[in-house]
Amino acid sequence: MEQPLWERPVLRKAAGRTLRPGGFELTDRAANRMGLLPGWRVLDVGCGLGATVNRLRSRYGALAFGVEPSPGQLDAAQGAGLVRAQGHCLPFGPNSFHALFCECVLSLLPDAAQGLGEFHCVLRPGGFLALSDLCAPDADTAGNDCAARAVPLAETHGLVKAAGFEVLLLEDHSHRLRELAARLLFSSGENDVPCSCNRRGLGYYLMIAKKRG
Amino acid sequence: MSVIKVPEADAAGWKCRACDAELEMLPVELEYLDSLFTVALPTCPQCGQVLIPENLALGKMNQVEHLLEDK
Repeated sequence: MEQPLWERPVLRKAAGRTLRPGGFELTDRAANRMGLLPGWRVLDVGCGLGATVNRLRSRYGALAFGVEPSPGQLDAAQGAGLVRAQGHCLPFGPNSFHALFCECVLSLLPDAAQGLGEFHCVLRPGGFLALSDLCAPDADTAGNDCAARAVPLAETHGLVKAAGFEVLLLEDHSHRLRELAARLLFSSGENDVPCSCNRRGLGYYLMIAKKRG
Repeated sequence: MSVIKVPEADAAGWKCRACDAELEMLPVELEYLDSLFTVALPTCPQCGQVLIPENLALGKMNQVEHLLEDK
């Protein structure tokens, strides 16, 4: 079984330690938009190498934690407060967090609706969800990488609302995905397995939602 | 963003004809449509002339252009 893109060196070369389109720009945009304050308890789901967790601590003074299912990523991660866990089965009690970040990860969960239900559970009432991910014109989810598994934005939007969130902001950031795809293309060698991020019509979005109640 | 290193780009064996200086891998800004990429390319350290190898121009650079145009 081939290594997923997010564990291949070529992605780290192309995207840096955030391993996603836009780097920290969308993280900061979401944090600023929700008014993230020092002392907030924040969870990053699918934290990878811990880049967002460290960013939220150092720049915003958050009490940030991360969950990541891949032992390989956790071994290579920097910083404390990272737990091995699946995004759709979080090892935290209800109402634990002021905010939850899920960046370029939702489409990788085996069940996005279940994952969003978990996010809703661990957030406090009025807590914020920052979601950025790929979206596609159709739900052709054959494949295991994030690009192949992307679904239409309207579908995700519906799932977020059905999970008990009010959507506050929805922005198109597809140009950031195109730039990352181009960087991947430039950086890849002969032996690198191409990813499907050049799938036609693929886009990238930032959504900020608030837990109702 | 960090400088992109392209496997096909190599300065070895190239000299600038005008300056007689050996080319070095230096960061070069490539702009296409609304996207800007900083790529390490063989460059004359004296006059700044950049060499874009033919296989890079016809290969990856061409593919990147199509990728940025297609979406």
